[in-house]
This record gives sequence, C-alpha cells and structure tokens, in this order.
Amino acid sequence: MNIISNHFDLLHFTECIFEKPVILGEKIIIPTHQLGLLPSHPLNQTSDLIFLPQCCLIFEKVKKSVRQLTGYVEDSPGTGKFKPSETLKQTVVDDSFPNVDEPVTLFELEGIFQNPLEWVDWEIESAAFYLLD
Amino acid sequence: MSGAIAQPVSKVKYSSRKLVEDRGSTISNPTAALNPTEAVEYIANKIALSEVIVIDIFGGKISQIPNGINVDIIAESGIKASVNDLPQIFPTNSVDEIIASSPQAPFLEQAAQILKPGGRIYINATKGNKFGKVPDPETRVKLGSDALEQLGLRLVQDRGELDPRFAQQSFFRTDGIPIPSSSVKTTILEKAQ
Repeated sequence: MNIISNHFDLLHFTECIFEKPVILGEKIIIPTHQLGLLPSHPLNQTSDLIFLPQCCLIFEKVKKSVRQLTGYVEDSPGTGKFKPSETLKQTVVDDSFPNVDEPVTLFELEGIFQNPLEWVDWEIESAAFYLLD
Repeated sequence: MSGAIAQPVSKVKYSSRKLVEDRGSTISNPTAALNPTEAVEYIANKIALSEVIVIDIFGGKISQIPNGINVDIIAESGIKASVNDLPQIFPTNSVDEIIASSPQAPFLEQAAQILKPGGRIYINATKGNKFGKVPDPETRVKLGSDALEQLGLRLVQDRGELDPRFAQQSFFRTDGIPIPSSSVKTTILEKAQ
C-alpha cells in the first residue's frame, strides 16, 4: 500500500471512473479507477502517462464539495451509444462538514460515475489531499 | 496494486487514443493519412502556394475542424504523426493557427516553434485535463514557471467558455464516452510578433 500526499497537479482525471464517495466527518474518500499519473508522479517511474486500475482519493479537513453532474441518454434505443443530456444536469453540494480553520486548497476533479452514467465536474475545498494506492 | 511502484496497465505514449466518429462533413483531407515524410512535401507545397495553414493536433481519426489539417498518431485523414514530429513536418514560424482538441500529451514547445508570430493556439480541454493547462505540469517542470515567456507565448484567455467556433465539435474520453461540451473550456495563446 502506498500513500502519496499532494502531487495533485500530476494526476490526470479525464479518464477516471469514480465510485460513490464516502463522507466521514470532515473526510471524503473517493474509490477511483483509471486515474492517470504523469511521469513526474512518485508512483510513475516511466516516461509515459500511466493509469492506476484502482485507488482511493482522500481529502481531509474538507470545507466544501460541489459536484456538477451531467447525465446521458442513449442516442438511439438499443445502440449502446450515449450522449450528454442538457436536461439531466444537477448540482450536488456537500457543505455539512465541521468547521475547518486551516487554509484550504481548491481541487478540481472530473470523470464519470456509472449506474447511472454521469459526467462529473467536481470541486473540493480541503486542507489536505492524499492518494491511497 | 502490489509493489511500491505502480505498473502501467495501459499507457499513452504521448498520442491521442481518442475515438472520434466519422461525421463526414468536416473532413479536412479525404485521402488516407500521410506519414511524416510524405507530409513534409505536402506542407511545403502549401507554403509555396501561400495557403493558410491551420492544424488540429490530437484531432483523432478525422478532424472536426473545417479546413484544419489533422495531426494525430491515430489519424485516418490528414497526417499520422505525433507531437514530436511537428518540427520535422512544419518549418519554424509556418503555421497560422493551431487547435489542440482534448490534448493527451505536452505539446507547447513544438507548437510554439512552428506557429507564426501573431498566430494563436486554441486549446479545448476540460479542467481536469492536465495537458490543457498552460503551461502543462511537465513543461513547467522542464522550463520553469515562466515557460510561456520562454516559448514566446502570451496568454490571451485561460479556460474561458468554449469558443463558439467549436460549438459543433464533439469531445470524447479515450473510451469513447462523450464529454459534455459545457465542461470543455477554451484557452487561447498568442505568439509574440
């Protein structure tokens, strides 16, 4: 097991698949698949972008979490091809965290949820971040 | 994952794996894709004819940019080449405009070299796409925080709303799942005169 603090700027999120987040007090745990690691990341000793099949993103001392969700509709029934739907947009705000006195950083994530399929633009303000591999 | 260091399960060797459907109407070069060697002559002819050169890097199999020359390692139309091939194909200061659609690798150094003074780079990318940042993390590590200045680039717009000229374009993850256009932002860079 590896725990990597910070290095958030060396994570590539576009291809991520997120599972339902777990919120425990002031902490958000996000089970994540297909997280991209840039070459300078401590877990990547190659010169290529690599993808972690599974990991957890952990944000501690969270002040706020906002998820902009966009659902998909099937292009034509039975085709298995989906397109984003402007009518299936919703914003989920998690702001019932204990007060955080420390300075927080804005972390921007993106990826998809499955079942139902949704694209998410996710902003989390927290005092600490680490990656659990 | 076992072991101290993650092993690559799938790798992107600085090229686009983007899946782009054939939409037919915006094919910039309907012939089969040129290899880098063939492309050198193709581009030299365009320059000799004083044609405006617009390139769509990471354009996928077929560019969605009208009159844009697709450059992608998976190109089926345009030029099948990687970002690292750009300086071999395009002479320095020869390209009028560069569009980077959902970039999958660092490209600013190569793009800045071939772009004409006064020319612009349009980067269409989601916020979480680290290769859409200016400078991207790797270029920042290599050149420092003043990377843009070193490359002769000026930031005109940083992750603004998707430029209207790209409103009809579709953006995809590498697994083919479309990305909502509302989540794609446009960054504009301009090369110093």
